[in-house]
Amino acid sequence: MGHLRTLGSLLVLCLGLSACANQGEVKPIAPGERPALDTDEAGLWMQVERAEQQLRTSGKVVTDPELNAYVTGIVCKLEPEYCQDIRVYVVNAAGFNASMAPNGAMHVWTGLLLRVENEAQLANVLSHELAHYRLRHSVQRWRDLRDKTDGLVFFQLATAMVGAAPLGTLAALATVDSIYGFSRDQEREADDLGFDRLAAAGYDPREAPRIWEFLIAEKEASDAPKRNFFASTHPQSEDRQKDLEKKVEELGELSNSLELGHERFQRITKRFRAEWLEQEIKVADFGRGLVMVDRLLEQDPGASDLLFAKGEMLRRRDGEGDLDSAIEVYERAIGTGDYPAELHRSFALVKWSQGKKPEAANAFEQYLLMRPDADDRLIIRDYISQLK
Amino acid sequence: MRPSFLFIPFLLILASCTHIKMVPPEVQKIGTAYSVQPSVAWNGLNSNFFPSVSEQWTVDGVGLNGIDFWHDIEDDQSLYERRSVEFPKFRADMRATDIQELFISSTTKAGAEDVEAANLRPAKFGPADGFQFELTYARSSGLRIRQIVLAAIIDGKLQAISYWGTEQHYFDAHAGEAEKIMASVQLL
Repeated sequence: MGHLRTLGSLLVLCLGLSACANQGEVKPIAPGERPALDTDEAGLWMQVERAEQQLRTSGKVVTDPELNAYVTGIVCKLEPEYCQDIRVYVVNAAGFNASMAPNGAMHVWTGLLLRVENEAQLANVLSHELAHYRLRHSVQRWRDLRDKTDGLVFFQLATAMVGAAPLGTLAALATVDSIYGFSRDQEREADDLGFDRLAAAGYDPREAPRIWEFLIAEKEASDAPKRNFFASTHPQSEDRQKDLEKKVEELGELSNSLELGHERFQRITKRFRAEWLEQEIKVADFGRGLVMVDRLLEQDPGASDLLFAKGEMLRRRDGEGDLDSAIEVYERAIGTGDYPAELHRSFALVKWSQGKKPEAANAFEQYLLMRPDADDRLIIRDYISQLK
Repeated sequence: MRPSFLFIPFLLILASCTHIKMVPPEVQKIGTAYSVQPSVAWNGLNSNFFPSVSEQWTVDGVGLNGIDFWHDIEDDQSLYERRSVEFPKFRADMRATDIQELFISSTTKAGAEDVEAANLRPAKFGPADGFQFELTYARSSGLRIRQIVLAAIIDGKLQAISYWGTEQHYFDAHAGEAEKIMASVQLL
C-alpha cells in the first residue's frame, strides 16, 4: 500500500537518477526557489511531495489552528524570507524528533513539543532543521551517495529502512528523510547556521545546548535495544552539546532579558499535554518516559497530568519498588483535586497487586462513582465482587 | 508477529516463506492448550516469522482479515517478536485491564497508529473465566482496522484469540464466524 507505492517510486527514481549526469555544486537555496524540472533535485522534490501528500491525508497531522499558527510563527520569525516556502506539519507521534524534507515540508513531532520547556528550545530545533533546508543538504547528500553507490543498492537501503522502522506512516517519511540522512559535517553546519539564526531572532541561545541534555539523558535510560532513531541520523549528541556550549561562550556575556517564550509556549501547548503523555505511555519505553516525566515535574511539580503519567509508567513497568512509588505519585495527584477518574482504577490495580484488597475495592468504587458509564464498568464490577 | 501490522516489504518476504494450508471446518487443536471449531474452511498460515506460541488463519487474505491464536504465553514472554523492538512482556499476575494495556502497547510498538481499546468486559474462554475487549487502530496507509480479543489467564498462562479485519467490509464479513469460533473453545 503506501509503503509499496513509496518504495516503487523510490526504485524508479533511484534507477532513473543513477543515469543522470552530476548536476554540479550545490548552492544554498534562495527564497522562493524551486528546482528546474530537468534536474535530479526536481525528482527528489516530486518524491517527497508524494510522501507529504500521504502524511496530509493520514490522520497523523494535528490540525489545531492555534498550535499550527504558533509553530509556523516561530519558523517565520527565525527565517522571514523563507516563511512562504516552509509547510509545517505537527505530527502526532511519541519521541523526540523533527525533520525537514528537501521541498520545505517540516515535520515536528508532538513528542518534541512535549519535551521542550520553552519557545527558545523549540526554536533551536526548528532553526536547525531550517538550516538543512537553506543549505540544501538533502540534495547534497543524495548526490554524494548516488556517486558512491548505484540506484539498486540505494533502493535496497530504502527497503531495509522501511522494514526496520516501527513507526507506521512515519516510516515512509522517515525513509525519505533518512535516505538523504545528513552527514556529521552537514549536521554541524546546520547547528552553526541554526544557532546564528536563533540568536538573530532574539531567542536566548543558552537554551540550545539544553536540548541535548534531555536527549542524552533519555537515550541512556531508554529500554529500546536498538539505537535511537533521532540519534541515528545525527552525530554524537554529546559532541553537539559541547559545540553549542562553546558557541554560547563565544558570544560573551549575554543579557538575561533574551527571549525564552516560556509562558507563551506553556499556554499554547499545555492543553495537549495529557494526550501527548498518553502517547508516550502507549509506546511503553518506560525508562525513557520516566526520565522525561521527572524532568517535566521539576518544572511543574504539582501537575496532576504529569503525576498520573509517572504513576502509569511505574505501574506498568512494575520493577522493584515501582508499585510503591506509583502509589505515592497517585496520592500526590489525588491531592491536587484535579485528576482523571482512571487514576482510581490504576490505584486500585496497584493496591490489589500489593494484596490490599479493601483499599483496591474502595478505589474501584471511586472510579465507578466518577465514571458510572465507563466502558469497562462490567469488568470493574467483576473485580469488586472478587475483592469482596 | 501478526501480518496485520507488518510493512509491505516484510509481507512480500513473508509470502515467500509462508505455507498456506486449508483449515477444514472441524475441531482444531491450538497447541496443547485448547481447541476450537470453525464452521467454514479457513486458510492456515505457518511461517517462520511467527513465534511458536501463535497461529494465524485468514479467510480473505493476509492483511484483510484474520484470526490469531496465542496459547500458553508464560511470564516474561511477549505477544510479538521482532529483534529491533522491545515488546512489553506478559506477567502471570496481570489482570484483564493489564492485558488490554499489553495489547495496546504491543500493537502500537508493532507499527499501528492511533490504537484505542474499548468495552473490556468479562467473558467465558471455554469453561474458564476470561474477558473480551475491542481494539481499533490505523495502518500506515490510514486504513482502519477493528479487532476483538477474547482472553483468559489460566494457571498463570495467557490464552488468547483475536479476530481482526479492515473496518470497511472485511471485519464484518467474518465477525459472526469469529464469534462462533471463540464460543467453541474447549480446554484440553
